[in-house]
Formats: sequence, C-alpha cells, structure tokens
Amino acid sequence: MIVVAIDTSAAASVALVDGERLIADRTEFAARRHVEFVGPALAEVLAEGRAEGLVPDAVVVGIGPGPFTGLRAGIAAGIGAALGIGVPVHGVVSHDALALRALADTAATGAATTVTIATDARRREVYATTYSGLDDAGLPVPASGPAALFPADLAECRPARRVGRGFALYRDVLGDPEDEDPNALDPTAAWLARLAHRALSSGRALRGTEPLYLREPDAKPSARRETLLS
Amino acid sequence: MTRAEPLVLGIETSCDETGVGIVRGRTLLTNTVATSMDEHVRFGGVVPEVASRAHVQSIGPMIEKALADAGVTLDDLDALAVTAGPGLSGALMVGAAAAKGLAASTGLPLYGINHLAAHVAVDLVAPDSPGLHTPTIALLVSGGHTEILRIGDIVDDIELLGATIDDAAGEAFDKTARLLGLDYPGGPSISRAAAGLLDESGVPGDPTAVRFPRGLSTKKDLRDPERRFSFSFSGLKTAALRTVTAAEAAVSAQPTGTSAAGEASVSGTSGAISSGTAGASTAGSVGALRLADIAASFEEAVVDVLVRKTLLACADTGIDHVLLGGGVAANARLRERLAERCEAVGVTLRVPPLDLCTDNGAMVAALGAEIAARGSAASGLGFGVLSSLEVDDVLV
Repeated sequence: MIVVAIDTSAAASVALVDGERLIADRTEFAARRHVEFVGPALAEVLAEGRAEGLVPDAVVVGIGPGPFTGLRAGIAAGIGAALGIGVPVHGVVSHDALALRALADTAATGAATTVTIATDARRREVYATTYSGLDDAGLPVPASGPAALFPADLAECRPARRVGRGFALYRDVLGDPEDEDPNALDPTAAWLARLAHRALSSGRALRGTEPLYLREPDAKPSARRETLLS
Repeated sequence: MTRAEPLVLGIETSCDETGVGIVRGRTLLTNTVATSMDEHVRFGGVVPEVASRAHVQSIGPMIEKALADAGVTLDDLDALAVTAGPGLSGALMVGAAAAKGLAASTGLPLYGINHLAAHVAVDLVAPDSPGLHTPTIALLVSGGHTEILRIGDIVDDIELLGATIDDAAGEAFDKTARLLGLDYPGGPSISRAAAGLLDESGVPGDPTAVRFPRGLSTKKDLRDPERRFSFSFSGLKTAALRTVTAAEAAVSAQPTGTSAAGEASVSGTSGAISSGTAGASTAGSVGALRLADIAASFEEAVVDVLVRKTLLACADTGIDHVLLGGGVAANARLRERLAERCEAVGVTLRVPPLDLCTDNGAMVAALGAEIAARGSAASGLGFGVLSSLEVDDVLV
C-alpha cells in the first residue's frame, strides 16, 4: 500500500510510505503554525512520491487526541488531499502511531508489550492510552483509553513502559519517558502511514476522520431569559 | 493564469457556514452551503469551537456536493480560492487547510482571499445582476461585521471608510433578543417581535416608543473623520438593558393592570420613553411599554444609524451607488429604509439575492475568478489565516 499520512495532533507531520518503507517525510516538532506548514509539506511529499512513480492508494489522518485547532488543520488537509488524489481518507488514533513505533521491534528485543502513551492535553492534563501489544496484523491493541487524565491519576496506574511527551512534561509525577527522541515523544505521520498500510493491506477497516475530542466545547449554554413584558 | 472565464471553486468557513461555490468566469454554477446555526441556538450566539467542529465534518461532503451540483470534476477546474480572513481563526483554518490539501494534490493555483471583498464581489456572479457596479459604497452588516467600504475596483481599490468599534450590528440584535427572551438568531426574532407577531396581537410596535441612542452620531462624532463612518452598538445594548429592566419593574409594580400616566417612564439619558404608546396591551394598561415597542425601537435605532452613515459616505465620495451585503441584509426594515433614503437622494441601491448576501462559497469563487482572470499570481501554499485581515488585502 502506498499511503500518505498527516498528523497534526502535536507535531506537524506529513509522510509517504510504500508499505513499511518511508519514501518522504516532513516533520516539525513543537509546531505552532499547522496551517502554514501543511500545504507546502504535503506538496513536497507528494512530489517526492511522484518522482518515484508512486501515487497514494489512501490518505490517512491522525484524529488525535490533541489540541483541537491544530488537529483539525491536518484532518481538513487530508480530506482535501484525498478528494484531489481521488482516493479514500481514513482516520487513525494518533497514539497508535507512537505505540506502533514503541512496539515494532519488541519481538526482537524482548521488551514488555504493554506500553502507555501519554501526550500533552494542556490544562494540566495528559491524553493517555495503554496498549497491550501487537495483534497478528502487527497493529497495536488498545487496552484502555484514550482519555484525558490528571498526571496523578495516570501515575496510579503505574505504567510499565512510558512513551510520549506527557511523561516529559510531568516527570516528577509520572517518571521519565523511556525514549527522549522527538520521534518517540510526538506522533509522527511516518508511523501513522505504516500503521494504515498494515491495517488496509490486511483488510482491517479504519475509522472515519472525526476528531477524537474527548472534551466538550467550553461554552456554556445560555439560560433562556424570561421577560415580564408582553 | 489568464483565462477569460476561469472555472474556480471557492471555499468559505469564516463563521458558521461551510460554503463551497463554483463559478465559471462570471457565471454562477453552484452555491452549496451547510450551516451549523442550529447548534449555536442553545448558546445564544456562534461558539467558535462548535462552528469549527461542524466545518471539519462538513467540508468534504460540501466540496463533493458542489462538484456534483455544478456537473464538473476537479480536473476541469482552473483554480481554487479560499477565505483567508477576516473571521474566526479556528474556523478559517479548516477551510484553508482543506483548500491547501486540494491544491497540493491537484497542482491547482490557490488564492487566499478577503471575506469582505468577496461579499462585494458576489455581485459579479449574481444571476439577477448585470455585473458588479463600480464605483460603489458597500454596507456590509452581519453577526460579525459592520463596515462601510468604498469600492473603486474589486481587486485594486478598496477602502475601509468605517467599521464598528465594538459589537457588530447582528451581534447587537442577538444580545438584545436574548435580553427580550427571544430566540437566536436575534435579527429575525426582533423583526417578528417588532411586527407584533410574537404577542398574537398582530399590532406592530411603535418604533418611536423608546428613543434609543444612535452610536457615534452626534454632530461632534460626524465632524471627526475617525468616527464619521464608524459604528458603536454597545451603548444601544446597555440602553436596551436599562429600558427592559425598568419596563419589567413597572409591570411587576402594577399587578392589577391599572396604570397611571408615566407608569412605565424610564429616566436616564438613553431610554426616555415617549408618553402615550400606541396599542393597548392585553393587560389593559394604557401607556405600558410592549415588547413589540422595544423591539421596533431597537430595530429602528440600528437601521437608522446604518442608513444614515451609508448615505453620508455616498455624499462625501460623490458615489451614487450602494451595495448591501451580509446576513443583516435579510432585515426588511433595513432594506426598506435604505431603499427609501437612497431613492430620495438619487442613489441606486443594489441588494443581491439573500443566499448570496449571507456567507457563502460562491462569493469566494467569484472573487477568485476575477483575480485569476486578471492574471494575478496565486497565494502559494504557505499562507496563514488572519482573523483581522484588512479589507485592502484582497489577496494574501
């Protein structure tokens, strides 16, 4: 499968894979300008693919969890790109990408297969998902989450393997992340694309593109005012 | 690119409408709109996060629907256009990102354009219009905007003469409607109340019952070039609150319904109520202020200042043409009063069809097509959205 992936749940990242092989990648960690980034990055990644004669079979977008405004920029760009290429667009939970990276070589290394992903949820919370290993298609199996948690509440679960920027942000409470490489702290499109390739080529259905918000909008419904006037 | 009649798809997501329009040169092929208005009702106004959530759900289906309605494919298109601002930034980002995804994958040129200029440019493609008349004064009034523009040329010569310094006119309608216990959107609710349609009397309210303040309209304001064409509706909102509170106090102070003259009179600089209000209320009290009176007086105050300043702009510039745009163009009282006053001084008034006055993608496509036809360079893919984009930045 040739898959182009976009994830703007934390970093801003666009990548193209041919199966497991990474063809092109543009990733900006600590990104603040997702809309500015996504257009040129997508054009460049697709151009590198075209230079190798590769046209995507599918577009996948990371659906979060992550800060909403930036997250939607990647999803909307993916929706537009899929229409432009004329292929389907799918959604993947962004934490799955970090989980796949952490679990990809456990068979060789013998590392534990239970891994907890935690990313920045702002408001002194983390988004956390725990995975129990890879299934027979090589896809991470979620055991709990994703959910928005206070770091102290996540700490009580005593994560066996700690992966993601959430651990770096709340080290005192949660303990250090096992890997400080930026690619191990934020979900990246390269791993999202590999995951989508594995899922699609083994006939698994992926989600739609609706973002995983996990929180309601802040606005409070206004109480209807009654007037005495007739 | 220079083509006489470029086929352009335009995307608009600056507020609560997900609009996708397609034009061929100056011919409108489709104007497809999904609105999240119903989702904002319980909040009493547009909630940016709610609007953004709706945009990201609607944008793909709306693009597909527009292409199907117009009977064209992406391969047929010559260019794409998208609103880059002004507007709600999270909402703008959804449209801009989708447009960039389309542009990056198709190689089509993308124009990031100005929402306000697009409201005027829509007359290029309005089916009932011979084209955009220039020069013109444009009055743009909506829930997010209240501006008077001078348009010499839709691409190269747009000048902001004045704008609201606080609430937009539509926002003032929304807030006052809430105060009166009426539904969002406030404009249509207040108009119905003013017409006496909400109290089953069918007796219209008296627009002179309450002399609400006309913001930035004193002689001193009108002498000041910074204020001459500017609007302020926050004082009006406060005056409405005072008037309603006082009138309600008057109602609760007279449970029997017998009312002495001046019972409902309200003191204060802004809410003096004229005596002898027409129309007896169902409670039988003479002179009590009806909800219809307040609604009609409020509407009158908003319309009055909009019309007055628009015609001042015509007089000052010597331009004898006015174009009305924005959602508040749906207000019948505004259209009537503006038409009367324009006719009285020999100014032509143009109001595009209502579905082209409210936010839509066709206006974005229309402006994009005009810019493309003139051979302007596209915006590239790296531009950002600007919530307060200036109106003379027609193309980002």
